[in-house]
Amino acid sequence: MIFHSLEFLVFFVTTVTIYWALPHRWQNVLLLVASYMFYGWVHPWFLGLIFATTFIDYLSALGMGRWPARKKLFLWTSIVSNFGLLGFFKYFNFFVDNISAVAAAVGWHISGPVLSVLLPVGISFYTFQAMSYTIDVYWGRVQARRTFIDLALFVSFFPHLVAGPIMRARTLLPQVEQPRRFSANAARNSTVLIVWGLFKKLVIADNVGVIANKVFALQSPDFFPLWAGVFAFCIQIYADFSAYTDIARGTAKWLGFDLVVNFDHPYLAVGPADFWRRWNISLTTWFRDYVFLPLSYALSRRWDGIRWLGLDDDIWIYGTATLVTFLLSGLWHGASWNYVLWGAYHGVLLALARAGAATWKPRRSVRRWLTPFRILGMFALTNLGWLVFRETDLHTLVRDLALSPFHRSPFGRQAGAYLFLLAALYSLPLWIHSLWVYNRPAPQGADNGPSATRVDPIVGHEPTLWRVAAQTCLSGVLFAAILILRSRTSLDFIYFRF
Amino acid sequence: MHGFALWVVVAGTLLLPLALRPLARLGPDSTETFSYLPTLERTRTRTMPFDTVVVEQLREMRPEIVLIGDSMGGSRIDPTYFASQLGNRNVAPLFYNATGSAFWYLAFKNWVLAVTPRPRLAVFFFRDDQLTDPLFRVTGPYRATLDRVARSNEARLNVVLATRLQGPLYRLDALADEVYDQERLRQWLEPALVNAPVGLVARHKEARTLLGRMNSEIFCLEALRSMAQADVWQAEEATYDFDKSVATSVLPPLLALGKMAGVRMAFVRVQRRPENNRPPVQSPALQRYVSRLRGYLDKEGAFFHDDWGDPEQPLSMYADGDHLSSTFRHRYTDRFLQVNAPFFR
Repeated sequence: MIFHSLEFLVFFVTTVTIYWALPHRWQNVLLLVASYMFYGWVHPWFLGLIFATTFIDYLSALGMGRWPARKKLFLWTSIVSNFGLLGFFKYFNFFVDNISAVAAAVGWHISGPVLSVLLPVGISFYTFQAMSYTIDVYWGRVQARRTFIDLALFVSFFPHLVAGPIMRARTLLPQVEQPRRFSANAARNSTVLIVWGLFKKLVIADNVGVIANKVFALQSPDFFPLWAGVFAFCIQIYADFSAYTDIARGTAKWLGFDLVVNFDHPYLAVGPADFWRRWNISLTTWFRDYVFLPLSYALSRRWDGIRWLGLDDDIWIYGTATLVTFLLSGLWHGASWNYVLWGAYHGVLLALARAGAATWKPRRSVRRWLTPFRILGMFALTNLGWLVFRETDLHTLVRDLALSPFHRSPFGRQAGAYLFLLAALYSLPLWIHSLWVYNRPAPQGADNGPSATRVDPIVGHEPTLWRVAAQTCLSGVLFAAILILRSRTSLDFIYFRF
Repeated sequence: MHGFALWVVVAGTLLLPLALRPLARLGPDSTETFSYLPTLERTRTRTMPFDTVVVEQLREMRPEIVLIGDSMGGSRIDPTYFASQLGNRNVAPLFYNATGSAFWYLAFKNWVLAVTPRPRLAVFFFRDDQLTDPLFRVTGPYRATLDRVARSNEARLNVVLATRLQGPLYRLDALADEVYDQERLRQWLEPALVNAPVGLVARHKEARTLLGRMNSEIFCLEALRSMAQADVWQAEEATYDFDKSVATSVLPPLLALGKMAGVRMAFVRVQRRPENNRPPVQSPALQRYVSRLRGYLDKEGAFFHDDWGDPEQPLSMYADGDHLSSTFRHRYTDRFLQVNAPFFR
C-alpha cells in the first residue's frame, strides 16, 4: 500500500478511528494487524520475512538476557540471520554476477544461478531497525522485551516501515509500551505535515522526476541537458524521500507516536559533514553508532600515535573508518557498483574536508562571509554525487563525467537551460521553505531534531489564532496545488527500491 | 481550543480548494470536451481525431484475418508473406508501436468490428501479462495513441481502468473532480507552467518551436538507450496473478465482443529476449500465470499459442530488447505457420 492512494486514505482513517476507541494493549494489537496488512497488501509473502526477522531477534534478545555468558552467540545468530535474509534477497544476483565476471576474466566461464524473486520492499530499513535492537540489548543499552507483540510492532510499525526513518529501540519501544494520549495539537500540526509531504511527492518530486527520467533515458546526452537532468534528480530524490518521511511522521503523530526528523534542509549544508548531519539522518546515525564508532575505537587501539605522510593518527583513523562506513552505506542503497562508488565518493569528500579543516582554520568573520559560497560549492559536489548515484551503467558514467561544456551546440544549451529552469520552477516551494526556516531565529530551548536549531514554521507551535489561520491557508493552498499541479505520471517512492 | 483548531485546519484544507471552481472560469475559454476515459482525466482535448481512414481501408480490403499488436508482432510477422503462405488470403496488419491491450481492445471494437463482412479470425500478439494489464501504455507519453482509436465514449474501458486503478473506490476520485472541478483549471495551467521558462531561454521566434524541437531532436526515439527504446518492461511478480487481474482487464470484454461478432480469437505470446542463448527464465508465478491464461482462453473457445521455449528462436534472431531483427521476419512467419498449421488450415 502506498501513502498517496485512496486505499491508504480509507485504511488510515479506519485505523485511526478504531485505534483511539481501544485500550492501550488492544491499540498495539490493532496497529500490528494494520501494519502487517499495510505491508502484505500487494505481496502477502513479504509477511513471512518480516515475521521471521522479528521472531529471531526476539528469541536472540531473550537468550542474551537469560544466558549472559553466551551473549555473543545470540548476537551472531541475529546478525547472520538478518544479514543473511537481506543478502539473499538484495545482493545474491549482484554477487553471482560479479563472481561470474571475475571468473570470466581469468578464463573460466561459469553461469551462476539467477534469483528471479522480487526484492521485498523496505527490507533494508526494517532489517537495520531490528538489528539495532539486538545490538543495543547486547551492549546493555536496552532491556530484552518479553512481549512479542510490542517488539513486532516496533519492527513493523506501518508509517515508517517501508522507507524509514529508521527508529532505535530505545526511542520507539518505550512509545509502544507506554499508554498514548490523543493530542489535538499534534494532530493539527501533523495534518499540515502530511499535506506538505503529499505536495512534495506529487507536485515536486513526480514532476521533476519526469525530467530526470527523460534525460537519463538518453543514450548520449549533451553536457547541458545532462546536468539539468542531474539537477532535476537532485531535487527529485530530496523531495521524494523527505516527502515520505513527512507523511510517515505525520501519520505516526496521529497515532500518538513521535518519529525522528530525517532531513534538515540538506541542500543548505556548508560541507560534507554538515550534509550528512542533515541528509537521511536516521540512517547516518545508525551507521555512525554501529559501524563508524566501533570501527574507530578498534582502529584507535591499533594505530595510536602513528604519523604517516605528515598526518596524525586521528586523521588516518577518521579517514579509514569514514571510508569503510560510506562504502557500506553505498552498498546498503543497492546492489550495484555505482552505489558503492557513490558511498566512496562521499567518504573521500568527508576525509578530505576533515584533513582540510585540520590544516586551515579561518576566523569566524571570514567563515560567515564564505558561507554562501560553501553552500553553493557543497551543492555542486552533491549534484556530482547524484550523477554517480543515478547512473547505473559505469561506462556511461565515465562518458558523462568526461563531457565538456565547451563547443556545445546553442540548441543543447537552450534545451539544458529550459530543463534546468523548469525543474527550478517546480522546486521553488522547497527552496523557499528551506530559506525561511534557515533565516528564522531559534526560540529558546527549541529542538526540532538532531541538528536543527530552528523550529520548522510548518509544525511545532501552539494554536494561536493567526497561526491556525496561517496553517489552514497553507494546508488548503497546498491541497489545491496538489489537485491542479500533480504530475500525470505517478512515480514510485525512490527509496522503496532500497 | 486545541480540538477546535484541529477541525479548522482539516476543514480548511478540504474547503479552500473549492476556490478552484471560480478560478477555472478566469482562465482562457477552453472548448471543454469530456474525456472518453474520465478515470484518467475529466476533460480531454484530443491530440488526434478518431482515425476513420483505417476503417475505410479495412472496409475496402475485407480482410479474413486481422493481426493486432505492437512492435513485437510487427518485428515478427511479415503480413504480405504471411498472406501468401496462406494462399493469398486477405490479411490486415494492425501493428502499432508502443501500444498495449487497451489500444488493441479499442482497435478491435472500433476498427475491426466496424467493418462488414467481419473477419473470420483476429490474432493478438502480446508479451507475458500484457493481456491482463490494461494500464500498460495508457498514461504519460503513451496516452495520446489512444485518441486515434477511441470513440467519444468508452464506458467499458473506463470501468476496467477505474477498477484497476482505484479498486471499488474509483467513484471517490471521480467525486473529488466533481467537487473541485480541478481538471478545467489544470487544462490551461499545466501547459502555462511548462511553457513559462521557454521565453527566458529562447527568442520569440525560436520560443515557439523550442519544445517541439526538443522532442524531435533530443528526446526522439533514436536518441534513447536501446533498452528504453525497446521498452523492455518487467512486470512485477504480484501482477502475475491471473485470477486477480483478469477481472479488471480488457480480456473478458474482448472475448465477449469476438463471440458476439462471430470472430475467432487467437492469442500469441511472443518469447522475450533469451538469456545466455536459452529461453528467458520464467518465475514460478509467471509459469502459473501462463497456465491459468491458457486454461481460461481454452474455456472461452479462443486459440492460444506460446512461443516461449521454441528452440528455433535463438538469441541471434533478436535485435534490441524483445524485438526480432527484421531479417528474420520470414523465418519467424514460416515457423509460426508451421507450428500452428492445423489451426490455420
